[in-house]
Amino acid sequence: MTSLKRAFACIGLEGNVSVCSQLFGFRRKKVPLDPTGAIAKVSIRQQIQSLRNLQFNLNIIAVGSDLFSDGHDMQLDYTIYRLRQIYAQVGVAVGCVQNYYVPVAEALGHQYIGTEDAMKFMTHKWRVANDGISVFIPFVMSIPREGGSGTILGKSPVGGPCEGENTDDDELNGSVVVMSGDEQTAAAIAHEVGHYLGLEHRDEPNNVMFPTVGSNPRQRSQLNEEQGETIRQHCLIRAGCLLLFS
Amino acid sequence: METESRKQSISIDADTFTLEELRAAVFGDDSERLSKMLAVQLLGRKDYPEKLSDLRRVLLDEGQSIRARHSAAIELGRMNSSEAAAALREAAGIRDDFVRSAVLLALQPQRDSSGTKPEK
Repeated sequence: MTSLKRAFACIGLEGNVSVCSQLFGFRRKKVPLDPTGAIAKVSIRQQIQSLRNLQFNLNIIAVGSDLFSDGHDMQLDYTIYRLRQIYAQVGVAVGCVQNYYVPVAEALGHQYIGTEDAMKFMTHKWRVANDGISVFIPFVMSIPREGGSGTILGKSPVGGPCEGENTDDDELNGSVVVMSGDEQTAAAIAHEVGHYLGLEHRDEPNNVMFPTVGSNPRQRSQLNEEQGETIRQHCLIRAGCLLLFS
Repeated sequence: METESRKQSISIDADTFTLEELRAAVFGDDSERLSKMLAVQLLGRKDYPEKLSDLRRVLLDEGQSIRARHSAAIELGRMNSSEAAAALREAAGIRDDFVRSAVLLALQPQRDSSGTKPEK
């Protein structure tokens, strides 16, 4: 079997590596609970095997991080767990997930996001300069959807910037998603990552890119091969690792 | 890849849930379906007679999460009525810094419909 060190090195992890927090990206350093009651299962072998596929890295940036509770962290861990399942449908793996923390004292009031301007500012101020997709999680966000009775759960640039690139100040420089419940948060982050990777909205309610979250967000988990092809063209999609298994 | 200057969002509609479902999520036991914060925000998008008293109740209830209480203050501000302003003034002495910041923000005159402006 391939060495763990070689697999870790492929996704940029060196030295003593924590399997839960670094290989899987779980903030709480343990496997999250599945809100359906099913046992969430992860496999080191499967995760390492998945790294042979094309993949993207993620930066999860919690803004107002000292306000986050253990339950909020578990929501984000569950999201990573679901994200791996959803993107595996099109042969794309979630590689390295790095967690970043902006405490209230440094958040310049952005632990609460009430306008799109504030969203834009956040994505320029704290975007991580690496090859990962930066996903910002403000502690609270409340932005009514224009022309309806809805509220916005997340927003992204469509076809987000590559490594080393930044958008104009007037544009989002990453994805922004608010935690809104286990399944809603997972659905919203999967959706916004899809936008970042170039996907547009779709009309099918079970597709990840359907523009609204219904009462059963777990159902909206499908990606099709055409969408997979679009994703694979994005500049932040990395080649798979050359790993041998016995 | 060329960066496009478009952005798209995902949202949830208040009509996805009945008023009873939202009130149960806010005032009942922990809901598995959606967070109390989101339920409060969706109550704010509904038009119903008890809206002001529901939001005031959440805002003043120290047993509610600070995310729900913060959202209740913002929604009261969005109601833009003298009764809502009175409820916010009543809450101006709230001890929690995060919730109080929302009360003060919601009481600001001529605030835009969405809330705060970013500090740049």
